[in-house]
Amino acid sequence: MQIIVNTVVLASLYSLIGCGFVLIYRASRVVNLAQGELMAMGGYFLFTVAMGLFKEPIPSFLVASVFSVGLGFIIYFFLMRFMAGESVFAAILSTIALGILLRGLITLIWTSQLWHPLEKMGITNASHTLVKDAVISTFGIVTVLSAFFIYLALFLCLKFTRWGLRMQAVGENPLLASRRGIKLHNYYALSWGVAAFTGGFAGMIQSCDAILEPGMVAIGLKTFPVVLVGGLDSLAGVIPGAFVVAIAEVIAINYISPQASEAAPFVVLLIMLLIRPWGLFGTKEELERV
Amino acid sequence: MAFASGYFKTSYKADLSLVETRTRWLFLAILIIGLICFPFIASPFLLDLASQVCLSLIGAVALMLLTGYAGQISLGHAGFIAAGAYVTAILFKEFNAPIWVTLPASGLVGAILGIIFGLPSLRLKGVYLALSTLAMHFIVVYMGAEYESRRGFATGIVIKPPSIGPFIIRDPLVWYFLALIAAVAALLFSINLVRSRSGRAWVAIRDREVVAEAIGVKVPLYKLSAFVTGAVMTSISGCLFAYYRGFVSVEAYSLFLTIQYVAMIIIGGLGTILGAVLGTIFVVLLPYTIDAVGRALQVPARLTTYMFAIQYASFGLIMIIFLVVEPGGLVAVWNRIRNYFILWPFKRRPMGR
Amino acid sequence: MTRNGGEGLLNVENMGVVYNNVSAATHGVSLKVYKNEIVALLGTNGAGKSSALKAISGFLGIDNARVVEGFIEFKGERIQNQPPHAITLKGIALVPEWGKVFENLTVEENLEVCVPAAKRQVKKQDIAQLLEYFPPLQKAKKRLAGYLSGGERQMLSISTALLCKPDLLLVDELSLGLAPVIVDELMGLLKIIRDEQGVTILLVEQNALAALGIADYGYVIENGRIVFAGTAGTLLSHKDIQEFYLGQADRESRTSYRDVKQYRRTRRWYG
Repeated sequence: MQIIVNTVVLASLYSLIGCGFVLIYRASRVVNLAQGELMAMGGYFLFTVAMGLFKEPIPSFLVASVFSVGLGFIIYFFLMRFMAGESVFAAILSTIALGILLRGLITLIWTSQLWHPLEKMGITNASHTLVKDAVISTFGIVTVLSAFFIYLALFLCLKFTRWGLRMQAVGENPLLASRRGIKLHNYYALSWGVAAFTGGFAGMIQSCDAILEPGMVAIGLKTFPVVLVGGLDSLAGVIPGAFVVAIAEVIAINYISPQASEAAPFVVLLIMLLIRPWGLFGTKEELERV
Repeated sequence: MAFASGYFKTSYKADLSLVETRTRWLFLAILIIGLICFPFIASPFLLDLASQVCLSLIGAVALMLLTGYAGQISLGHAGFIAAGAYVTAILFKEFNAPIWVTLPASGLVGAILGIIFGLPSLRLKGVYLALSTLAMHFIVVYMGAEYESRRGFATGIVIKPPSIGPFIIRDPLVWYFLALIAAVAALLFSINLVRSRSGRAWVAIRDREVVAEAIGVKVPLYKLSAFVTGAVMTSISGCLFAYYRGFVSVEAYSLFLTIQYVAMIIIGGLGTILGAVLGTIFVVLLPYTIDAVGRALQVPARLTTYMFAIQYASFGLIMIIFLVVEPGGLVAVWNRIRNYFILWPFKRRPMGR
Repeated sequence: MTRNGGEGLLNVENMGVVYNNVSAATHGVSLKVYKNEIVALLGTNGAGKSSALKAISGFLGIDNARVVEGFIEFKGERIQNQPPHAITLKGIALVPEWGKVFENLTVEENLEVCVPAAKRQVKKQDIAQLLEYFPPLQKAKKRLAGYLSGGERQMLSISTALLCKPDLLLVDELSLGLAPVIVDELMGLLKIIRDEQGVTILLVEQNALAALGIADYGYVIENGRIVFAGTAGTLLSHKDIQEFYLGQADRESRTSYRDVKQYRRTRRWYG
């Protein structure tokens, strides 16, 4: 039972981080290898806000989210804007460089100490017993719920608003979209903003559920298996992808060794690339595009 | 290439020669003499840096062949280096093998890994290939970590300095020349390789795969050969690095190492061997330069604890600056400077190149 | 100078387009389009007509192209080297040669995606009104645009361009890959749309006969230069045009070797 609960919480966390990745990919065909750093930044924003501005949890989360979105915009306008139209490789590399820069900045500003934003907000992460031998923490519940609601909101936005439709159009044929009067930069920036928000939000929750430290960025690496298993261009695919990877990881921890859990997602990724490279829900044409 | 006027090639032999003009012979001679004299005048610290540059150069040139020439994106380079280092460490610990066994053995393992890493490239490209090589890297490193913890070398594996016959290679001076010879050999090999049939086939695949196939380039074969060549060279450099450091530990082969190598070829300039050389020198020296600048500016002691973070951040920043401002890398800068002097007092470069 | 007594809309003066900072696609294209006209720009492959059109409708950074000489004036305003969306919002819409539609969106979504941000109701009306010109699209509203036939795609592309409420509609290679019957039908539709909606149309075509069938005025572009201009009637009756663009001249009756030489050579070069 406990294993199932752990898997669900882990999968929710992964899907929260992964959806930003897919959004950026769908809008601008850029693979964001700095998603883990965006996530860690969210956690540090929360910590800073909780320490300096508010002591209450909810305003802290809100202000930190605003910071995260701002970070996404800044990244787009000061870096990724110049990468529009460059080769895939150059775009990947610039996100890698961005990741290194952010990681350096994190250690510079907040040092590599461990922090507990939860203490600053004066709340505790209580455990709740679900059924007889399965325990879930408060922020475990928050993870699952926020993953659910963020996905619902994203789905509704992409499906039923003009923004979602245009985002899709921009991702498919930027030249034509621009010729039909859509301002490309705004939509690319929007995708970065939303991705920084969802990633950062995951980081905030994770920093409350566990601790805040620069090593957190490693979680971001595991989103690549998640999104590739689901299909790089499929938002809905992230959820099954997250479950597959989370299950593999939990099994590896419990039955092989904790070290193996670091490699397990990537074994899954390789297997997926061998049998169905475009992922569970992705489109096959995507392989040719990048 | 821009030449001063009056230089024409009059025979096929002249077209094939590596060093084309007398001026170049002169510069090359000065360079060689400089490199030979360098260890006798340099401090031990500088000598260590020079050896590091030479050893890294092998891996960087290998990645340049793979990514810069054959166009196959690899984010698993640290995996090859780790493989070479671990083969050396394992053979040394388990069988007490000497260097003339471990060196070819790591090359062999590199070749096998190259085929395995290269297989996805037959189906995948771009982002997908990059992520599959990334996955391979994690798996190789995991296997190394598993070996370390199973055999109880949790803090890393210590390797004794290699010996050839009665000589034990321990002196930094000897190491410098060994690394230099290895680097020059790798450079000569690569320069000639890219002028050969395989080199041209790789460039064809990089530029347009479908067309390359249509004109008769065996695409799968050359893709795999690119991976194998790159992997063998890199594994050998991993083996040499393991001996040079005398220590193998899993922490050294993180993703950051891959990124450093990728940065070398990006900052140097993709698609040129010279770029790999310039990029390697730049990336290897960068942290030490930042250190030196920090010391020269007399930064307060409080800040020196942040030195690593500063190095990290500025590394990212410099990479970004190169990607945005000068995608052609240091080679483009170099060419601009050279053309400026060759064409002086004119400003425009000749049409065509 | 006015043709048809109309006022000037687009004025391209001595425009030079350069790709990748070195290769020049056009050297000095000058053309004028007046309100309510249909103007045809004719030329063979590589003559520079598509480059000229793209320059008018704006380049993205990806194209790595710039207008380096001359200027493009639209309604008295210089518009060269502006991003495509800005030019579209100023009132020039392009029906491109490639990538005409968003293939993963349905026909309806393709139409809705186009900006001007009008109210939903107004936009619905516009779309309904527009689709009356194109009955096949009406039927295929829920289908993915990627599954449309070439003719239907062209219709969809024209209608999405028209939804941007342009004063000037640029059409690149309308006839490309379409059966002659459909080309004639679409050309006829364009003429009707011009008459009813009051848009000005600039056609870029290789199929000179079809284009001159509806055009009021024509330009011939070769090697990046305008080499001939005149009303559709003049062009249709000109001997060289007949020989090289309409394929109907007899060799014996050409005026002199000197007149023809330029055309001959380009034909052989560009096949």
